[in-house]
Amino acid sequence: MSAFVKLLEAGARGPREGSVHLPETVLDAVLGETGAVAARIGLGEEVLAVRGQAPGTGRRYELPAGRDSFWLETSGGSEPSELLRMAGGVVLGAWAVRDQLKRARFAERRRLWEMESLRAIGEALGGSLEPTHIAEELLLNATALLDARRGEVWLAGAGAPALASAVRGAAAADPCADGSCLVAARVGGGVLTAAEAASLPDSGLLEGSRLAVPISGRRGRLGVLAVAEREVRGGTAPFSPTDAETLGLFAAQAAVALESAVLHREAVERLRLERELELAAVVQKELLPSALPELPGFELAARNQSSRRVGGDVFDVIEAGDGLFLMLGDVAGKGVPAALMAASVQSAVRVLMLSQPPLVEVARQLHAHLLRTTPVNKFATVFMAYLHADGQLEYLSAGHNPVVVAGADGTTILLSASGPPLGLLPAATFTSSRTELARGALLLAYTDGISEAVDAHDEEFGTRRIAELAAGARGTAPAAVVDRLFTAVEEHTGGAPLHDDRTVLAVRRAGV
Amino acid sequence: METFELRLVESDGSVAVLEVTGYINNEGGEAISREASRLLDSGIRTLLIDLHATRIINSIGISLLLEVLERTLDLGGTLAFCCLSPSIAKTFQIMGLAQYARLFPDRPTALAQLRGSS
Repeated sequence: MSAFVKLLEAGARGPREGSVHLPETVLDAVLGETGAVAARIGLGEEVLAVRGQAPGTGRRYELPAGRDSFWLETSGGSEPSELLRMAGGVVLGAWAVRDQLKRARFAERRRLWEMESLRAIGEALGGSLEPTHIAEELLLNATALLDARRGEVWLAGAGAPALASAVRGAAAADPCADGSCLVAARVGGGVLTAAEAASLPDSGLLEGSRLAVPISGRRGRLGVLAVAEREVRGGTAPFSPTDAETLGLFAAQAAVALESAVLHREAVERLRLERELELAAVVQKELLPSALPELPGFELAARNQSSRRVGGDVFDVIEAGDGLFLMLGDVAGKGVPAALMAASVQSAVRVLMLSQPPLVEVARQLHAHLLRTTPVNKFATVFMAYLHADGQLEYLSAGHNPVVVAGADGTTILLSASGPPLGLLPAATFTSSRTELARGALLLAYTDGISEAVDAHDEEFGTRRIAELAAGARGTAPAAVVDRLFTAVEEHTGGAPLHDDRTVLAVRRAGV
Repeated sequence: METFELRLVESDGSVAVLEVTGYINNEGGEAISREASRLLDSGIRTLLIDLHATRIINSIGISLLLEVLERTLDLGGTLAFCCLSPSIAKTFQIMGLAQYARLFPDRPTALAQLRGSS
């Protein structure tokens, strides 16, 4: 069978014989008929196939193929017959048409894939509240769709810190010097340096092989989406402004998703903290005495009101010998830190009271405990006393507000501090004093949330008003005195929200 | 993530299993293409490509897989894939790979069916 017929048959069978492409089949037929040592076939500038050493100064022939102009170069051998050239042109023309159709079909499907990818990324991002998932979906879709060889998502900018802790395995590699930018996801290798990610302008970066756009939301910059090396068959090509627009679309979708994820996490965190605070408030309430011990000939009452969910005021009444141990304290600060320290003070006092040491020793040990266990700027004012059954009162005030003692005759005395607050000055010493709670007398201890409560003109309620209230409450039960004091303070402030915790402890010795 | 790796994990003379890890791009696709050609040239006619460790493929990778598919079909062979992520499965469907290649949810199912029909 002639080379001419074999060639036509090969063309009819398809674009390749096994792993041999049709242009190579044509060359094989040419070499077989002419005995040439080398040959090549091309279309325009493109070389389609080469056999043997490519001829540099060989003879060149036209292969007629309709609108396409294929050429054949041979080296050595005879001239290919006109029939062979015609057959070569026919099968190559058919091959070219088929190849163009295939490319067109591929391009059409690729456009469909692009649209599907954009839809899928929108769906994936919109349906996720997990920043790790969002960053990875964003990276994989953007990198694949832009045919990039490398890609990465950075967390960088004002909104990044809120995300950094939420992204699992945020790369420790290449972070900014101040830790404000991190790689959240990466494929194929790095694209930007940390400094470039941190300082990317709003207009982004388009410089040949690299393309980067900011991921910005309503709260500012969240991160950067970057890709590098756009692949084409057999090499790479520069990114185009259209690629930049596509990447910008991805970044805009991701920004919305990331912001939603941050808001969600913040809401969940707020809820968790709220629950923890609720629990802390319950624990603190249970730490304070729910019922006070009784001492014949005396009546006691106490009330605590926190300005926040938990507070830094603490009080206790513990049976001690023939009488009671009284304690009222105020920890510097507010909220959870103050509450933790107040709980620590109360626990320590209860442990110390197992052996009921002298007040000076109680103060010394509490002072040492606070110095050891709390920051330097944390301290507590504490009033403590042993009240004996015969009315004798041994007391010690470590920086606490003056305690009012109102006698049955209407006179008042103030039991003032004899030393600094506990936990403040390492070298501090403390001394106790004695007095008597005479029959009918009232002892009123309070924290500064009572004495320093201010009215609309910024005037404090003050110790004077407390003393007057105590003096004017002769014969009144301590519980009623506490009520009156809280009501008076409430009226003074005009019902304004509490700025500080309020605690009152009242003890009245029965009259004659 | 996604460092490319290609391993021939199984070959019993009739079915060869290639396990791919990482990004199927130009480099990854060409590695698959080379290995597939070598296996086809050695007489194997059924190739199973396990993509359980692959989450990303670009259009260059797809065009290279399409060529592997064409070459396999020209030789009367079968190209199969298993363990595709949903997004890669969708990509295969759109790009026409799913039309002529066989897709399986997992490797045991694929091997049972391919060996039964080879």
